[in-house]
Amino acid sequence: MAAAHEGTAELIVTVGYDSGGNSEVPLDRHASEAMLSSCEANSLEELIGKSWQHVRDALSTSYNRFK
Amino acid sequence: MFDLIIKNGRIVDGSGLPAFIGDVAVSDGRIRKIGKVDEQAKTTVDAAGKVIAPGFIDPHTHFDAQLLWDGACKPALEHGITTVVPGNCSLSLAPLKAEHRKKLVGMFNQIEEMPLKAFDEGVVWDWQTFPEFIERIKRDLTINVAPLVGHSVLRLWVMGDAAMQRTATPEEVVRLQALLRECLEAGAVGMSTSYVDMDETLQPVPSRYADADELDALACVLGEYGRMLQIVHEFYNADVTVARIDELAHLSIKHGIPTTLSPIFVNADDSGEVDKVITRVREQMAAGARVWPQVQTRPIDISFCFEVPSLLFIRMPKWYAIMRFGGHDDIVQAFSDTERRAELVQDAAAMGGVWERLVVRQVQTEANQGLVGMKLSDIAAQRNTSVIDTMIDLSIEEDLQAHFLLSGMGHNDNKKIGELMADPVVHIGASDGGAHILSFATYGDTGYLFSNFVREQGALSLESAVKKITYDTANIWGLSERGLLQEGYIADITIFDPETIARDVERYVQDVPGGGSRYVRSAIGVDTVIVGGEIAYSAEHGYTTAKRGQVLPGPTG
Repeated sequence: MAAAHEGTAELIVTVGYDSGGNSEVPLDRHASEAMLSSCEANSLEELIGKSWQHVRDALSTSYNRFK
Repeated sequence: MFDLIIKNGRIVDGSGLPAFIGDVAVSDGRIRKIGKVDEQAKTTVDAAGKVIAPGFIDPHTHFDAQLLWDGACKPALEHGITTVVPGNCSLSLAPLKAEHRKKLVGMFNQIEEMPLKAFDEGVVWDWQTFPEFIERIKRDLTINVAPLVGHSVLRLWVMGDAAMQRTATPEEVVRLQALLRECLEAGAVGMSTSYVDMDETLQPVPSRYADADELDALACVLGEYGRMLQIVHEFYNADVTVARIDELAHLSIKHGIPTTLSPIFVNADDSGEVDKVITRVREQMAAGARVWPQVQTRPIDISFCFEVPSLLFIRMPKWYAIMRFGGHDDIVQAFSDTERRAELVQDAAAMGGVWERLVVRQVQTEANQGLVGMKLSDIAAQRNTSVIDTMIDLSIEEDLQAHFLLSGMGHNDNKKIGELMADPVVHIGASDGGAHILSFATYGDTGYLFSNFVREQGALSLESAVKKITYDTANIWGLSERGLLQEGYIADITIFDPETIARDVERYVQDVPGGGSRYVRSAIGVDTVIVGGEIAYSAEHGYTTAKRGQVLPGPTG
């Protein structure tokens, strides 16, 4: 959990690469909820080990709410 | 006879040298004498027990729109700010063709949270070029303004819609250079660009479509005038930030320009990431580059009310479930039902002491207005109940319109930030003044510098803190004859009580054109603010009708 620049709470997920590298991706509320739904997770711990594609799709869901 | 004498103050002149007791005399907008002044003056200010300092300079603001209806940038000025730098993050209000107004307003709304209605009702669009905009804001200027021109708007002017689709052609780059040159000659202090911001359709802002050759060509023009390049970098990733520092250092040395990147945040779980950034800055500075990382003084607070789900509650399944899936009535019902409420309290108790840090930020009933700014723990003690119960009770009393603030959730490594405040390679700034007005108050960062980092933490001396936000800032930005109390310099002066200067609690006010609202903070301990030799604000009398603000650094040639 992190405080976003605008003063809202954000969820930070870490995406691991095959090469051993990591990237931290901040998810806003809409993306976080989409991520929980697509992973059928009831808690944050249940997100661990899920595919990066869930992160990509969650971000898309958040963006697309404006379209 | 002088126009103004400030008597018996503790003079902290901005140089960083030790304070001394004396008087400051002013005439024709300039400081004429410092020390013992026996002559008479039309106006005398008694500063006994107070500090007399140069006016503070805020290098990262978004007052572009507010300047069109408020030439004092209230309440920034009453915090001792005498100069603001708007136009950061690739966004300025000029140059701007009529057909791009809607687009730019959308970007300001998305990125800086400026309400659309404020533009509709507070702005008369009577300019297009940058020189016309400068003339427009000069009509009613109480505060000094050192405006950046935004890279995104330069691209919009030259490339139209293609600015949001592709890199510039060589011919367009030449036109961008000519346009930037026109802005600098009219008085722009530099150019801003962004690598991270999104527009109102969540697409990258125009500056993000520029390639390295375009930025190099524009930096070349900045070099002709020695003006600033400001960037918003990928502040959430230290490795990419280091790469941007290298890029800025290259441009700085090649074109002889100052550069600045903002913001730099330091979280308590930072794990040394900020050290990577500052170490690289130090290395590049040692090599001759001017790359100034901006660090803001205030921590980031998370705010919430129960009308809108907040991820703050995502680790509390019962709370998040009702916030996410229940409507207003479901939430009130859950709070009011004895059994469900007990479950919620038990769920929240698992979060430990975090609730002790809650502060009431906004309420709608008259009865509870006195609670604004109070810690929930203090209210709970008054009511003889728990903090969590108090949060629930207040939410019911306010029909879920009680807003709470969990302080210091980000940019919260207080000790490390204190070290950065004192670091000679760190530029104190990034206040975002005038932006995010519906999320938090962007005023009072200078008061917080003195209250938290000088008085409470002792991270830097009073003299050093004043220097950082006056003389250092003026030097970094090339603002001549400012930032120092020196005979012959422009009389921008702030008088404050070093024992009390601070920021007040956040307040919700409705003073934005179009019936809009914003969060503000009043100043504590700021006695008098003088701009261009005239009193613009005093704690006793409030704002005056002074209009001595200037556009800095002003036209070239």
